[in-house]
Amino acid sequence: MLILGVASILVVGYFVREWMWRDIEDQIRGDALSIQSNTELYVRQILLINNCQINEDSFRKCMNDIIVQLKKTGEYEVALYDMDGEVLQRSDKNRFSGEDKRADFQRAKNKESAFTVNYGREETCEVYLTMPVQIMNQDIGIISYYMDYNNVYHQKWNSIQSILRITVLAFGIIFVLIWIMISRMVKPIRDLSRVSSAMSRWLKEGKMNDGMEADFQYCERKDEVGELSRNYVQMLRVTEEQFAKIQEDRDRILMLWNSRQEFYNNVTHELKTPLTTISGYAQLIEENGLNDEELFYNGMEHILQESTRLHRMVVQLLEMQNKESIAGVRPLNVTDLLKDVIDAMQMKAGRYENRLLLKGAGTYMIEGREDRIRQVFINLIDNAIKYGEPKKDIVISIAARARMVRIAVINKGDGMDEEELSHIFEPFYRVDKECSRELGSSGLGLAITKKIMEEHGGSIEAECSPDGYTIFKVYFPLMQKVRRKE
Amino acid sequence: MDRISNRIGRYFVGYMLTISLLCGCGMKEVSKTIVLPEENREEAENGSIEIKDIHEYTYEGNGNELGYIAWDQEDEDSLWIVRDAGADTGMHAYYAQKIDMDTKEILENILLDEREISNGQIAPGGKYISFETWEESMIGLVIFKTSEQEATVLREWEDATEMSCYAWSGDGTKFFSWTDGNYCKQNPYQDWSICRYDMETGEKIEIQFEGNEYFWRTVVPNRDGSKVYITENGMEQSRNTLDMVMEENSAEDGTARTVALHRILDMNTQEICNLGDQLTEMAFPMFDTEAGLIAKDRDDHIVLYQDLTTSPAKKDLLTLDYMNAEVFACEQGDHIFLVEGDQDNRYMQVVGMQIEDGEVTGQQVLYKGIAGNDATVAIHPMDHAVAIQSSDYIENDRWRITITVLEY
Repeated sequence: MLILGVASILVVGYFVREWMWRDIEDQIRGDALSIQSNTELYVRQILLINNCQINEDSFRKCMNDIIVQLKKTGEYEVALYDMDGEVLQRSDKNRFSGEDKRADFQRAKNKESAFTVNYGREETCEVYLTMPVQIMNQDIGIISYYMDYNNVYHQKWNSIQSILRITVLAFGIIFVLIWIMISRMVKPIRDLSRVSSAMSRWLKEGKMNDGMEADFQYCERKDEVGELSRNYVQMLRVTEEQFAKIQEDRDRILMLWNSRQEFYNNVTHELKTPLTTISGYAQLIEENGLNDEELFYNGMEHILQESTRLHRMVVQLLEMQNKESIAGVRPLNVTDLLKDVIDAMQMKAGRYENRLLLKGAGTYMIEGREDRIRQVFINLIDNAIKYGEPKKDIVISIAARARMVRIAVINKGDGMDEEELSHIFEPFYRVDKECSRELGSSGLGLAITKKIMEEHGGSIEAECSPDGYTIFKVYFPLMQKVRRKE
Repeated sequence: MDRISNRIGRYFVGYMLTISLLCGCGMKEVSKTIVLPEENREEAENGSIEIKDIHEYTYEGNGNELGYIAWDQEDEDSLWIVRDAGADTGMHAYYAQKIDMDTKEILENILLDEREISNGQIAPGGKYISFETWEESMIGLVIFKTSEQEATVLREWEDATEMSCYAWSGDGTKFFSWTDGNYCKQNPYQDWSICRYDMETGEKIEIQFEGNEYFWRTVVPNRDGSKVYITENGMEQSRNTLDMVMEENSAEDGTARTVALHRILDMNTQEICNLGDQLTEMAFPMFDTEAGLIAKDRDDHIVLYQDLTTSPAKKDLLTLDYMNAEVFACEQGDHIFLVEGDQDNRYMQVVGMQIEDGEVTGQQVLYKGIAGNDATVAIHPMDHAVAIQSSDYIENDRWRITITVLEY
């Protein structure tokens, strides 16, 4: 491209110079023709005025008058020659020397009028016009003129140079403008490229730079580049969102995996513990058998106890994994159900000298499975009895909250801190493992309760007050009253 | 993406370096030889007027020299001129000289007047010289008879604003005067007259005309002075206010819309023949020749009118290329000479044309002079020579006056 540009400049320069020369030569040609006709007229006049014949001798005789006359007409330098080319008279000897080497002189000797233009290095232009003088069909001599066209040439060359300078300047400005335009156009593309490259690196490392969209300078142009920029920003935004979602899913998967692993560990541990007890007592009984009656009965009791607990745990585990859809859903009066459960649990509560108190009135209808909801109430009240302080009332309240019915079980006990509260709904989680195991807890009750609440579109919460009250709240969505179509 | 900008930047730098390099390079020497065509010479040789001889008579004078020139009717090769010999003394001494152009000899040298003279002419043939002169407050119209060396005052007046125009008949025996409203400092609309003075008989005929809006008058006598061609130019009457405004506006830049009245006046019978609409394009008549009336129209065309009073016919002869070209025609009407500046407008040149049947058959430059272009011309009555008097400034109010005679 550079070579092409240079070549084009050279070609243009060549043609410009040729055009200028041609223009000058046309002007010189016109002047030469005029000089030629005037010269013959003047020479003839001079010869006639001097009463001379039209011949070479007269030409030679009147050469001084001719030189003076011709010089006056055009302020040129003039030289006269005979037909053989011998010099007769010259107005300036320095200008007229070495005529034989000039092509115009040779032409004149061959009876042709011609002029030679010499373009010099320093913007000079000299012209030699040589013509045979022919009057009344007689060739009487040769006249040569020296004409100085330096001023004309200089003016034209200056004009050309001015035009060239303006052209160069114009092209330079155009270049700069194009460069600016291209830079402006390329900059957003450059940003796109940079951000794309950074995003590739981040993604390869499994990361995403949240500030990437902010780093990318938004291009507000309304052309294709601006549209590309806006689309790219949208793509970045979507990519960031998707990446965040992927990370969230990954974290959840990891959490679930960990939970599964923990669940598995807990299950195996909980299963192993009673089995170990059962196996141990069974071995003892087998070894000592009937010889140690106390050991036999004690051992059998433990075996029975642990096997019962194991059986209960397995049932609960199965219940937890039960993905059976919530079939058998029907409208229930949750108040009546709660009262029924409270009545059934009063006896157990009485063992610990606790009382179950129901607070709240009103009939609240929900939709659900009675056995599952009953189990929820049983679990909560059972926990309140097992982990609450004896000789304390356990308050069960029922009230409507927005479109939900809330049942709260409140008991006084050791309480739990925030950390414990955040885990208590996890399977097999126990605040005090040994204590709850002794109490026959498998650690699955609250997890099952939470699952049941989720099945019914409800929720469960737990909180502890600073003075040791533990509050469990369950929310059931109230059944919507549907108008019968009349 | 940087490559695009950088690429353009590299191109720009390369471009500038190249430009700088080329601009720094000097031009080499070149020589060219171009041959001129031969047609120029061939065309020149086709002209039908051939100059057979040229005579020049040169003298020096001051700025008061008068360009009066006329051929002598008896000596074919002699010219009459008027010279001011008293300029060096600060006085005036006008002499009428008769020069033999062959020998350059002064054949006669007659004192004309010692007062300042103006508005003069030498009658064709050189027998009479007319001029105005003044002494104290009186202005006189004087006719000087060269053969008798006598001066006759035709008229005297005191009003310096009164100015007249003069012309001689072609035979140089009758003298005409009239007033032209263009030069009249008085009321141009006043009545005017044409006077004819017969130098041979002494008869004076004055014909009165009513003044009107056509006050730019040109009078051209015929050869023997029996008739005069009169052209009166004036502004066209405005029809309404808009026309008046338009004409006033056009008049400011000198392109006034003019109309002309053309008539032929028989001085002997005083009959006036009004020429019709055929001549509306004519600006003014110039020469009455045997071939017809040579005139100039409004487009600066030189035309030939024939049979004016019966069935006028107009023929276009030529168009003046130069505004300051002066036209002269011989009595026969077959030669016309233009005196004008050359194409560079530096020197005077004489262009000759031959007319045949109303057509220009040949045109060529007959003479180029080194003098200026203000020239006086006299064509020989025999139509074989033309005399041109021109002047060239030397210095200190010294002029070189050259009389050139071209014989053809």
